[in-house]
Amino acid sequence: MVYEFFEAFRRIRKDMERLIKELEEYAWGKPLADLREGYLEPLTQINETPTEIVISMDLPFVRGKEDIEVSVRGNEIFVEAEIDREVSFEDICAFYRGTSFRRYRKVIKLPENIDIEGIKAKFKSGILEIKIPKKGKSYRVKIE
Amino acid sequence: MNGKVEIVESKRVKKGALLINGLPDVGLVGSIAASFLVDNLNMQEIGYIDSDLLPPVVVFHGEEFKMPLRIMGDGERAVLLSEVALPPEFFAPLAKAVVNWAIENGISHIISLGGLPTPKRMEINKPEVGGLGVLKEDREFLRSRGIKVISDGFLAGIYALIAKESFRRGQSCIVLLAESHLNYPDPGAAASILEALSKLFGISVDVKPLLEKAEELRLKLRELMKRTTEALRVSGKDYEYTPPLMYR
Repeated sequence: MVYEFFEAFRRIRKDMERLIKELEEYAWGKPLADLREGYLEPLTQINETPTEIVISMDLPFVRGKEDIEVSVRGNEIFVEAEIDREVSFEDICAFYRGTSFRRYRKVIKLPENIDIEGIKAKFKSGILEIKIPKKGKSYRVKIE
Repeated sequence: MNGKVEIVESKRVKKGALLINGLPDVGLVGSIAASFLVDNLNMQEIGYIDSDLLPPVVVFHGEEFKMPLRIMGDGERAVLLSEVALPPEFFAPLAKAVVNWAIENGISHIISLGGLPTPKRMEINKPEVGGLGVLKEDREFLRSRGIKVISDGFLAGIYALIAKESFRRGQSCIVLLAESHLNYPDPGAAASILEALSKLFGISVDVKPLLEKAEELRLKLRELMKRTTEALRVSGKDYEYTPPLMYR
C-alpha cells in the first residue's frame, strides 16, 4: 500500500516535470540541448524516399562508431553518442552558464510501416546516417 | 524605420575596394568563411546595418555592445557579416541597400560566399567551388582564374536578390558556391571558398587553422544553423532543386 502510494506520487511528479519542460519549450523555443539532463541534441535531417527513411545527424567530437548507440524501442529510435571532451558554451553564451555536456541524445518517432530488422547505420566524417527500410510489398502497375 | 534599411558607417572604404558577403545561408559557408577572413586579416568594424525587419536582438562580445549585422573592413575590403539568421522579408530591402551602398562607395566587385547543397557531401573530402557572374566580365574573370562557371540552375535567397539588384544596376557581382551540407555548418566548404577567393583576388589566408577548428565550429554554430534552416525553408530556397525552363 505504501509502495503504491509512493509509486503513484513518483509518476505524478515525473508527469509534472515533463509538463513543465514542455511548457518552457513552448514559451521560449527549444534549445538544442537539455540543460537539466546535460546532453546536446544533434542537428538532424530526415529524408523519405518511397523505399526508406534516411536520418542523418551531425556529431562533432564523436570519435568513432563504438561511441554511438542506436536502438529502437517501440515506435521510437534512440541515438546516444559520447562526446570526447567536456563541452561548455559558457564563454560564448550566458544562457549555458554552469552547464557542460558530454553526450548527444536524440529520440525520433518512427512510422509503423518500417522494417526494424533491416535498419543500417554508418558513421563517416562526423555524420551518422541511419537507413530505415519501409515494410510492405510494392506492386508494379501495368500501364495500358 | 518602417521596413527601411539604414547603413551607418564609422569609416569609409577606398574606391575600388571589394565587398564580400558572408551571410547565413546553406551550411553557413559564407558566415564561417567571412568571419575567418575578418579574424585573419585583423579587420575592424567600419559600420553596421539596422532595420526594424531584423530580429529584436543585439549582441555582446567581451562586454561590448554590438549590432548583429556589421560591416568589417581594412580599407581595401569590406566584409558584411551577420550573427543572426535573416528573415526572408528583410532580403529584398537589404539587397537594394547593399548594392546601393556598393555603388555609392565605388566597390569594384561584390562577392557573395555561399554553399551549394550536395547530397553526397559526406563522401567528398575537398568540396569543389563554382561561380556565378552577373556581368559578362565577371564570368570571364572567373574563367581566367580557373574557377568553373555554373551554367544553369536557379539561385535563391539573399544572394539571388543581391545578384538581381547588381544586374539591374550594372554592378559587378560574383557568387561563389562550394559543395556543402545543407543543414550542417560546413567549415570544409568554407575553406574551399577561401581558397577560391585567394585565386580570384590574391587574398591569401592559411585555411589550416580553420580546418583544425572545424569540429568546434560545427558544435558552436548549431543554434545559428537551426535558425538559418528555418528561414531558408520559408524563403523559397528549395527553388534551387528545380531545373529551369530550357529556352534560350
